[in-house]
Amino acid sequence: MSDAGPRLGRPPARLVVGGTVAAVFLVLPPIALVVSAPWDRWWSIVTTPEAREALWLSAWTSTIAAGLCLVLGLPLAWLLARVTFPGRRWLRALVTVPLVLPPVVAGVALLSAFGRHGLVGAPLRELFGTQIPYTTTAVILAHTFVAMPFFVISLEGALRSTSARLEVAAASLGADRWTTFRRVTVPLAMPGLVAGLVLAWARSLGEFGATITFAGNYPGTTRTMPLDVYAALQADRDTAVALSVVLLAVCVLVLVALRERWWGVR
Amino acid sequence: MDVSGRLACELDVSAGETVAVIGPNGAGKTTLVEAIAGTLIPAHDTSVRVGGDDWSARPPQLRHAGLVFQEHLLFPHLDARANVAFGPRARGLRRRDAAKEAVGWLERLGVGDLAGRRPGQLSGGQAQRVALARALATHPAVLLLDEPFSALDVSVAGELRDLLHLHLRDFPGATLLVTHDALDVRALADRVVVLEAGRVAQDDTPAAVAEAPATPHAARLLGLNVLAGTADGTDVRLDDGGVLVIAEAAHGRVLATFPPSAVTLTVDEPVGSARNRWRATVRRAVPREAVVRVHLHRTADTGAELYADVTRGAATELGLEAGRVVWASVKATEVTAFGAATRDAR
Repeated sequence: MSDAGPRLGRPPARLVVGGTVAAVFLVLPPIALVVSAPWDRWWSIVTTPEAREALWLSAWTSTIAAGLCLVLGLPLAWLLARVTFPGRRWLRALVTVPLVLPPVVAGVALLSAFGRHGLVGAPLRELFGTQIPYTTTAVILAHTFVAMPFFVISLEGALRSTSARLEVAAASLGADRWTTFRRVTVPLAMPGLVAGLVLAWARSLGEFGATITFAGNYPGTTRTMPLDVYAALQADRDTAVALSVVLLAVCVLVLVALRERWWGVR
Repeated sequence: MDVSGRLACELDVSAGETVAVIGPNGAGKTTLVEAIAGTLIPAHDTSVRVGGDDWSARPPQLRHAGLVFQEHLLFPHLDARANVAFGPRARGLRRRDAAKEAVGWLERLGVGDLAGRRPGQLSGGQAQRVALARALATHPAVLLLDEPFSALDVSVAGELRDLLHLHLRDFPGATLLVTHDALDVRALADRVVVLEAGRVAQDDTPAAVAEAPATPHAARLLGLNVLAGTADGTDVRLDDGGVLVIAEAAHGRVLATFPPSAVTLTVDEPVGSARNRWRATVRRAVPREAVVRVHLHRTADTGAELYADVTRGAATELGLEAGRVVWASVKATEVTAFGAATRDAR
């Protein structure tokens, strides 16, 4: 593919202007964030016990959420892509709802399901005395709830684009569906799977609304990085900026990890 | 077997036998293959019995059919050895034994040195050899070959055809070969099944089908010239214009056939006993074993194709290249006309 494309003359000015404004608008705030960071105090801010605790909590809850996406979302994506069952199209639509749901609403919805008086939460509390809201478990649930749709949709696309005819070939060679899934389907969908996993992890790392609604903002148990940034903003703006830079750096790393997929670098 | 609306046929293939399946697109060739392999979607009421086993209710993985498709469908993430070992592994062989088995098959198909390559690093012919090895490595009871050479270059297809011939001789199971190529039929098949609109129109030896093909497609495929028209006595008014003279009087719709070897090509208008002559334009000249098969367009008509076999010497002498205009003539006694069974003569 050629970068230049055919010679069709100058690009129209109004498109160039609009595009430039959009680009500046998107690039400027992150740059401003980096520029205005208190670099002289940066290291001491991000290494305070509280910040380290939040960073660590974010890292491991996001990783568990990504793991749950893999263990549960992969079968769901496979079902959606490969098995015909009644209501499949509805299920696919419903699964994507958390993708567009305002995160706060997602948090309220999680409370309605798993809260003290929730649909599942109330019987859980009566039978086992377990309480989910305002615990680290709630953080993981909130993360998984918002991240899983990213994973499932991205993976379903990858599964659909791999040839079902190869699975027919595998079956004709005597492989049952599980063997075919393990040895053909998953390896072929691997790039999409990895991208989906990274995407899900990044999405749960940045999760704020659902977490603060469903899990609260308790240092040590539910205060993740984004919540810590929010809390810091109330008290000391410099701390908030310094912590934000950390999250920004992680996001850039994710982009680099996904560059093959999004930037078309081969 | 009976696949609603698409295919209704009964077919018996003996062990060791190779049956070529021919027919126009949509005749049900691939449906037939899928019905036997069990990969038909959605599953239909088909009855498949192999040896003493009833396969009808079995999913594909519990049948024992080896499939080779037009596109090789090798697993792109596995090297040739792992592709071939896939079947033996899936059928319970240990990794090491399966790999050994795979290498053996690759060597038998002349691609032993490519065991470590992935499909993306193989040429079309090499990939199809690996695909053949993969199908044979499971020791299938039935081998289903769905146009296995049609994506390959002519010379590569020829090599592979010879190789397949060699292996089919030792292959104990039944083989079904879907093809569009007369050479496949002649070189490989013990029997030809002619499908037309989901039914078996003919089931006979290649020689018998070539002599009296039941459908225009079969006639054309086996290399005969086929002209459709309406006969009134010894004159056949052709559908695409012109009159063809035949030796034996006939009436009504007919298919007139004559072999390419019966066509004489000359530079000037022939004067002689040949009753049928046309000005024709050479489209291509394809060298076959001892002769050159010339594809011609009859100039007066649109798209009507004519095949003529001439010797290499004659082809050179006449300068038979694309675009060359020559006279083609056929003696009426060489033309066989028989009643057209089907509505469509195309």
